[in-house]
Amino acid sequence: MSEQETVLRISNLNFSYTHSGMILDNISLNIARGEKIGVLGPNGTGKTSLFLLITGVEKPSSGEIYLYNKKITPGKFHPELGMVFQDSDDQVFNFSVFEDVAFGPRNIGFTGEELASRVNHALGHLGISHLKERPPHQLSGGEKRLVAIAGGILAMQSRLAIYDEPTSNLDMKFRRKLINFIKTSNQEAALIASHDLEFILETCNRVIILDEGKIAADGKPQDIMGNWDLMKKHSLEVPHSLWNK
Amino acid sequence: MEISAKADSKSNTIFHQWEAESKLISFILLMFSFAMIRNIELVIIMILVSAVMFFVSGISYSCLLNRWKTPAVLVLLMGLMVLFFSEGQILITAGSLTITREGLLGMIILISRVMSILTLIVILFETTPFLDIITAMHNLGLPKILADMTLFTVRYIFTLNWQLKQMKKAIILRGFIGNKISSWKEYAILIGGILVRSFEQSDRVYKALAIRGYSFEQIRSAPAGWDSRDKTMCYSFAVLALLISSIQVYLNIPGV
Repeated sequence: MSEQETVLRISNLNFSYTHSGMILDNISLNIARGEKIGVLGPNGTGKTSLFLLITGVEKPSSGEIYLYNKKITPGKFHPELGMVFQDSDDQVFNFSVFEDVAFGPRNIGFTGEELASRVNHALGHLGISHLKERPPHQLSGGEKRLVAIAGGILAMQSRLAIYDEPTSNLDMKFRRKLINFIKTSNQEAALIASHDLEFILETCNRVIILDEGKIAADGKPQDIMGNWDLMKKHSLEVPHSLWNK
Repeated sequence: MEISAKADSKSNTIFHQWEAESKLISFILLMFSFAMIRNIELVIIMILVSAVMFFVSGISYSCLLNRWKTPAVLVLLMGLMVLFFSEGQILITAGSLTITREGLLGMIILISRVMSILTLIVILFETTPFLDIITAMHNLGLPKILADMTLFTVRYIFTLNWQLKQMKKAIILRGFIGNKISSWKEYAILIGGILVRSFEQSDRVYKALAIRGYSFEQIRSAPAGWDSRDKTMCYSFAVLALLISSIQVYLNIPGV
């Protein structure tokens, strides 16, 4: 993989909280342009911690993370990457959908027409322009998730998109909308953690299994997720659509 | 309370269009002048001013009555204390209770004053997005950290309230009966649980904000700026407030 194709490079990453044992144990991972990586693994294996380290919100115990060959400095703002949290209420904080989506671009430095244009484009892309003036706490779970994507990824025009359990609490309609969006989105790379294995199968072109803080498997979705022994070993199930293949 | 910039059917009134900062200053001045009122003659003017503002604001009666409900009970109780415990010219005596002229006037003035000020507060909050009020308060000197804390508190009250209701429903399904004195223990545990959850959630919210560039610098829109109409409205309210205060000061002069 050439330097130019590399979006994210993680080298020997270790992480632990002060009150607990090792969360991530010597993780190394390269993500290339065009890759949509599904991150699988049982609960508590460090998926969210890995994402927070990549965004620079958490500080690693040791190891390095590079985004487009620029080192991620913990505590610094990295507008090239955007993240959608598992619980949209943690993310959608403002008093109108417009203001919430405008929050990131405003922090990048956009104002006036340019800011409005970014927000309107993000809302329009997801088909939620009609929610613009609504207070987020009155929205349904699916609508909140779309607002979180509009504000966390689209309006920021992030190049690397990170989704933490994006289909949790979504009905079929919003789940399908999300699948279509991720499949057609123009982010250069994406990391998606989910227990919804069919969703991963539909949206990702690479899968890693994270277990006990280590990368236990890395490969093509069909190869990894269709391997009964491997999936069982890591407390996962083969998706139903791969049973007869 | 209107917390978003939503445009409802009556959002085209002069109060809705008024810029938040100048509106906040104007309303505060008027509220202070109302708070100074001690004479029954000025009470009539105060009620008239509040009533006209209420009609112009386009707010519904039900909304106003709903906002009045709880404070009205407290004000009525205070008014009754003033009515029965004021000394002066006796009007009616019933057993050990005595109503004096001063007590009656005191009650009328107190209730009118508080309810008029409350009406102004309702008009202010119902015609201004909450975010704009916070921004205006910050621009007028409220420290940034307090402005942000207020904003987050109001935003997440809805989430916490929903969580509390869900938890209550869950324990009712397991046989909890909420109307016994002994159930206060369960209520205390529920509220404790909500506090712990809110602490954990605040950490997640902060991380989500940091990813989008939050640095305690900017979470609000820039002030829109005062146009000539905002200035005219602000000056008019300031003159009205000054007039009411001056009349009250004049009436307080001994011998007038």
